[in-house]
Amino acid sequence: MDLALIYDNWELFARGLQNTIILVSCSLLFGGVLAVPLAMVQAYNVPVLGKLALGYSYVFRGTPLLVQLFIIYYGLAQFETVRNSIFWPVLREPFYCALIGFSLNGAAYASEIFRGALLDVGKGYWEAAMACGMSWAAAFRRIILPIALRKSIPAYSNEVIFVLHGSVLASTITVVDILGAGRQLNGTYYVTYEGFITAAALYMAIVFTLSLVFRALEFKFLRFM
Amino acid sequence: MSQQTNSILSVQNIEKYFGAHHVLKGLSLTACSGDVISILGSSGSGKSTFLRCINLLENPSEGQLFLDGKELNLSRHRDRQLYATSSKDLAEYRTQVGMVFQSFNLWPHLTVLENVIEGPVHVERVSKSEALERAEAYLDKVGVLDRKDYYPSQLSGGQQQRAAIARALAMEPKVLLFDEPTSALDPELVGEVLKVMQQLAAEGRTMLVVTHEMGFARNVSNQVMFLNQGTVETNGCPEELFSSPTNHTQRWAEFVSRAYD
Repeated sequence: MDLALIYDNWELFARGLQNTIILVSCSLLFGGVLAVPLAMVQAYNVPVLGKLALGYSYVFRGTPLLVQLFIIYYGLAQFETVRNSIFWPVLREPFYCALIGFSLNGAAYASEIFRGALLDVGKGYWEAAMACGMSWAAAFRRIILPIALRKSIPAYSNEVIFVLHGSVLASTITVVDILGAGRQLNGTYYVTYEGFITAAALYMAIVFTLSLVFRALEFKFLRFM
Repeated sequence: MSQQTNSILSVQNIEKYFGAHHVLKGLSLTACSGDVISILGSSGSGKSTFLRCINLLENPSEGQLFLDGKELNLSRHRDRQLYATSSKDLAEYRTQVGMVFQSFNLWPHLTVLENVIEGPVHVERVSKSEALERAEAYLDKVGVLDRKDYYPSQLSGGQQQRAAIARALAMEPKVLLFDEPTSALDPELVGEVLKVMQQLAAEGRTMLVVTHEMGFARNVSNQVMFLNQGTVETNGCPEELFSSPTNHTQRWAEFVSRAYD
């Protein structure tokens, strides 16, 4: 192990770390926001929309993330209309393609977690909300969703780790994330361990931090259970 | 339909079908200010369904609801049941008809105090400070003020039910509905909840109570309604019904004697 080489390239790894963190946190944010309505329409059997959400979840969970990423990055660029559209400045950037892929994929998995949690909220809590005059929307927003989201925390923390580990696929479409930095070091100097072990250590450090964060969240938000 | 001037809640000819099953066969009831009406009956008699129809947690198939002489407009939906025509009217009606559930249904992610201010702040839109003041007063009245910052899961069943009563009171409703409020409690905790209900009755609150507590029905309520298979089997003042059960229907006599076995 050439530690000096790693040290000399710290800026490369810092950039990789930054990209991974931005990519993962934005994907979780967009994916999470998209997952709530997807979960709602499925949990409450909304006509048409419920079926569409089911199909969405089936497609994104039924195909590998890498394939989805390739379709978004390489596939969409085949179309003249896509290249001429206003979305092209976004879709030609590998970083944004990865962000879109991870968000859409993550939304499918998160929606399954939220759907289960929503169905798990007892009917009595709805009734108590209705009985004091709340509308359906108010009861959902103020009572049911907060209970469901809190109960989702343990399963969702696992999902966050999966998204993090899945994010290495961004390096296959030239994004310099943590693994991308490791691969670049490997490619430049023909050394194997330095790049990949540094990358592995960085991922482990993130997972460790995440587990501390989730333990704190569980302590704060699951105290009621 | 003309209503007595002092009637607070009047429920007329409630019918309910679950599919082909005729559960409620035209039940009516009028509660005047300060009335405490106990609704008795064996399981399956329709008493809980009747109570739930009164605040439309269950949608009746037929019937009319009047609060303070004002009718709540109902219209028939595609499932052939009656729903409130206006959601605004329904919300208004429900804030004035408080409900206490068998399984308490305190919201688990909110503390006791947060449970009690939720309705006043987010439904009635009173100021937070006023809601807090009200909440503390009612929690004190039911004797769980010292538990206000606890989560419901940290309370005993009796404390949870008393907190749930405070939550209903905080909306300052005109009528309180109790749906078997002591049925989910350990026997030694029943008394503390009944005591609170007795105190509310003594204050002159208007209450409809679905219960199995014969002592409460006999000693606290001023009217007893005995249901059997969706109809009123016997109806009257408790002294009369309890002192000579055999002067009434056969079923009532049997019900009373079973309860005291």
